[in-house]
Order: sequence, then structure tokens, then C-alpha cells
Amino acid sequence: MLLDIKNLSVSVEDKTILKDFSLSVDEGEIHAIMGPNGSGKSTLANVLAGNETYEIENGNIIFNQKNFLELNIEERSQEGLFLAFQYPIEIPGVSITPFLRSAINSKLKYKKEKEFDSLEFAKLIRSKAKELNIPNEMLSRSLNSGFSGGEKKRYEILQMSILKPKLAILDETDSGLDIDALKIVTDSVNRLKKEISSFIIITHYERLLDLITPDKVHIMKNGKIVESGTKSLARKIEESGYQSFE
Amino acid sequence: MENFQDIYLKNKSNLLGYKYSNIDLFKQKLLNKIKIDSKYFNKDESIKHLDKGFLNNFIFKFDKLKNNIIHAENNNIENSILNISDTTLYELTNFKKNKIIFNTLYDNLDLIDKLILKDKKAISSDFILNLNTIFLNSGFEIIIQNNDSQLLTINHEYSDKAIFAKNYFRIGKNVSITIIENINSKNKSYNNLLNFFDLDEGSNVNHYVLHNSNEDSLSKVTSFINCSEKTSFNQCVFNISSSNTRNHHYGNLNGQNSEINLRGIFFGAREQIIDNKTEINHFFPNCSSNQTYKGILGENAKASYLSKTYVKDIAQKTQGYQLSKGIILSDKASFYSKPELKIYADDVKCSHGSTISSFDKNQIFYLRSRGLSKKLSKSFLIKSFYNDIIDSLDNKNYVNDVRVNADNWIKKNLN
Repeated sequence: MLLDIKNLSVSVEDKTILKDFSLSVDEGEIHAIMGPNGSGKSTLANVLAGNETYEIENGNIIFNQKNFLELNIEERSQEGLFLAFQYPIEIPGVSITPFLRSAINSKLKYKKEKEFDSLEFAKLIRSKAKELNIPNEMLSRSLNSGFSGGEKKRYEILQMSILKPKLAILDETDSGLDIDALKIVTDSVNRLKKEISSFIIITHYERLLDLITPDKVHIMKNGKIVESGTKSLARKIEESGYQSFE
Repeated sequence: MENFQDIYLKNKSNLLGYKYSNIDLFKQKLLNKIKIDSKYFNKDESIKHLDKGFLNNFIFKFDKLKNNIIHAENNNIENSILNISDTTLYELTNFKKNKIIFNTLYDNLDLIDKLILKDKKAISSDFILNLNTIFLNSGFEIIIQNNDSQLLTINHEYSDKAIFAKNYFRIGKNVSITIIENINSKNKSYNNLLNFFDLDEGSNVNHYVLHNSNEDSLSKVTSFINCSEKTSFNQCVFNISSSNTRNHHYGNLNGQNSEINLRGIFFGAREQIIDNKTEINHFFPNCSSNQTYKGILGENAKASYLSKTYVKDIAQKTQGYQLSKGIILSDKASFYSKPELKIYADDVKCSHGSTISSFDKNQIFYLRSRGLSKKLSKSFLIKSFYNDIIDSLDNKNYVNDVRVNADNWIKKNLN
């Protein structure tokens, strides 16, 4: 078992958002989480990544045999978790290449592995950018600053493909992408699937799941999973909405 | 404390211009104006935001006046270098080769007179500049009339001295030059440096300052910049001092199609008091100006930044921008910012902005979620905060010095 969330309750400003939430993800699995707005999907993603805005009331999270709640934000990343943000944060003045080199080197240092020098890293980032149709000149730009919605999402995937996490959470990575960009992103996810163990894909649309086949689909409502199934569940939602699920 | 009158009378014979009764008389007048009481200080903007403690510990230490200029030529380098180690010693490299004229104020009545009276109105309303005039003990004139010299580096190395200097830079027609000033004060130095820049038509000056005073030294730097037609003056003051400092810089646009950019980056920690001020006067049409200061303040540091753009009624098509930004690293650090615009023309583009905050939590979360430690994330954000200023500079060595000094500060002061 790669990720095991048990009876997790989470609140923010005294409002409980996740209620007794449980989910297990095995190595190599792709899980899709669907659900109406406000059902707690992004909260789940943020809590897993260690966002300190949220208060854990109850439950536990085991990731790669480690008690995740005892690890801080960067330790979780270094352990192999990656969150592709729904709204990637703009950081003017921090350019993507030195930032990403520091990120991968922090992880390698944590693992006591050899770090990248700037030349080796430049090679790596260029090859990964090419796969995502990101031109080289974009690699000297500031992080997400002045990017279009689609560009931001593509940069999240670039970061993911360099950091090679054990588990990647894609929080509505498909929203804001046109069909061509969506294809580029999903191709990349499918390529990474061979290298990365598992994915949690948060989405509103079935069309993404046509391009990435999930092993399991979960419906989330009011802070918990109300139904789990296979891809056919996603089709059912597309046809009849979330109202039939309680 | 000993009052300034007594200190002046005791040291008079070691000051520039003491032999000349007119100058002595003028200094006496200024001395009579100086009042040391807190009511006066709280009203007077030239000293309001400054550390007043130095007034009680004011010790006037310097060597006896003499004139000592050493010329050297170094064929391995193109540039000119001026090393100033105290009030009387000037080591000049490649000045002759690059046709730079250098005169000291020593025994040069005309020059002393000229510099004391230069910008008299503005200077005599400033407490610190009045002290500069009264205790004037050093200074020089540099005249650059041709373009043989692209770079002039001035190293001020002061140790255990009180320096009151007026330095005058005269930049000739169509000259382009970068002047780098490294101001290093240590061992209880007190320096009060006043620079004048006069730019003749078509000239272009980059003035890059690295202000680095150690903990027990006090340092105050002032500039008066006069730009004539089609000139450009770009200043960057990078202040990494560990002590209390003052940086006041004033620019006058005295001709059309000119620009003045006054930028600064300052760092503060412990109990430091950092006083910054810039002011640009648009007296002619079709000119532009930019005043941007950014500060990073930790522990109990206190900083202020006053900026002002004045646009005269005839100065149409003026573009004048001001920006003040601060990052506060501790609850006890503070930053006082006061931008001012005085516009008497109607066809202008002017703006001012001021933001002071701690780190953006979302940005920190984003960076940490990629595996960067909290400290490394903050360090990235601090660097990104002033990168736009550094990117606008075009001297690699200076930029490198700035980055290394900033990195050291961040390593030491961030947790």
C-alpha cells in the first residue's frame, strides 16, 4: 500500500470539510476523484501536501510506510508526493530553472543521492520541456508569472516529470486546457505512469478519463467518498449528475 | 556632551577653509542654527527618521590635513580606480591614461567656496549636510571630459576616522561612464559624504553604490544630481551595512529629454535604523524619472523611505514613477514609507505605490511543496523581491558583489 488515509477529519476556521474520509491507493494505481463544487476535493489535495491552513481533527495518513502527519510540507515532497495545483501560484522574479534545480537537489540530498550540477540539470529540463512542447526560452521565465491558464498547467506537469514523485495528485489539471493542450498533458501523464507509481486525479470531466484510464473512480460529496467504482461510474455522472449519489 | 560649537573651535585649524574668514563666518552662522533638542528633531525631516544617538557620542577623529595624491598606471587594466583610505590619502590608478582630471579641496579656496555654496538652499535646510559643511575635512573634484574611461571605481576605506567630504563629479558632453563606489567604514568611523553630479548635455552616468559599514560605524551618503538636456543618470544604492545609515539622493532635471533613476536595496537587522530619501524635480518637459527602494527588515530594524516627485508647470509630458516595497521578517521590525507627488503640469504620467508585508503564505507553501525547505523558500522570495532592480544594472562585477553580499546576509539573518 502506497497511501492509506483512515478516518480523516479536517477543518478550516472551525468548519469541518473532510469528514471521516478514508482512501487507499496501491502502487501503480490511478484513482480519479469526482464530485460537485465544495465537496472537499481540493482540501484533500492540500491536506496531503501538508498545507498548514487546515486543522487535522482526527484520523491518520500513512504514505510509503511513514506517518505523513508527522512530516512537514517539504519532507512530504521529498518522500515522493507531488501536488499539481488547481491554481498554480505566480512567483514573479523566481525563475523556473534555478528553482526546479533546487527542488530536485533538495530531494536528492534527502535521499543521500548525487545532486545535479547546473549543466546536467539544463540538459534534463530541456529534454522534459521538449516532451511538453515548452520552448526553451520559456525556461528562463519567472514561475507562473504572466502565464496563461494552460501554460501554468503545463509547467506543473513539467515540474512533476522532473521530480518524479511516487504519487502525483492532479487537482483539476484538465480545467482551462484546450483539447490540444489536454492531449499533451495526458500523453505526459501516460508516459510518466511507467516511471511514477500512482496518481490521484481530481476532475470534473469525463473527457480526461478517456485519455487516462483510471483503475478506480470515487465520487466525493460533503467531505467523504459516497461511492467507488470503475470508469463506468464517471460516465454515469456525465449523464445524470451528482444528485443521485448520497 | 560636548556641543558642536566647542568641537568646531577646538578642531577648526584641521578643517578645510579655516584660513578664509568668509568661510569661517558662514560656518559660524550654520553652527548658530543648529539646535539639539528633541522638539526640533521631530519636526525636521532631514533628521526625523535618523538615529539621533550619534549626536551624544560624536567624536571627531581625523588626521591632520595634508595633501597626498599618488598617481599610478596599470597597463593590465583599462579602468580607473580611486582608493581613498582617509582624509588625506588618494591613490589614483590610470587617471592620466584615461584623461580624468582630479583635484582635491586641500588649499583650493575656489573649489571649497564653490562646493559650500553649491545647492546652498537645499543643503542648508538639512541638519546632516550642515554638519558636512561645518566639519568639511576632505573632498575632491573629478572632471571627465572624454570617453576614454568607461568605468571608474572608487573605494572608500575608512577606519577609526570622522570624514566630512564634498565630492564633485563633472561629466562632460556626451560622456558615458559607470562609477562604482564601494563605501567601507569600520572601527568606529563616522562618515558623512556628499556627492555632486553635474551632467553636461548628452552624457550618461551609472552610479552604483555598495554601502557596507560595519556595526560600530555610522555612515551617511547624500547626492545632488543635476542633469542637463538629453542626459541619463542611473543610480543604485545597495546598502548591506550592519550599522545605522542614511541615504538621501536628490535629482534635478534641468533640460529636456533626460531621465533620472534612483533605485535602492537595503537590508536591516538587530537594532539598525535605516533612513532613505529620494527626490526628483522635473523642471523641464519630456523627462522621465523612477524612484524605487526595496528593503528587507528583520529583528528590531527600523527603516524609512521618503520619496518625492515634483513636476513644474512647464514640465509637460513628464513620466515620474515611485515605488516603495518592504519585506518584514519579524513582528518587531518596522518600515515607514511616505511617497509624495507635487504636480503642477496637466499632461503627465505619474504614479506612486507602497507595499509592506511579510511573506506570502501561498507562495511559501507552493515552494515548499516542491521540496524546498522553509529557509530556502524564503531565500528565493527575498531574491525575487529585488531581482528587477539587479536586472536593470549593467556592470557584472557590481552585480556579482551585490549578489554575494545579499546571499551572505540572507544566510546569516534568515531562519
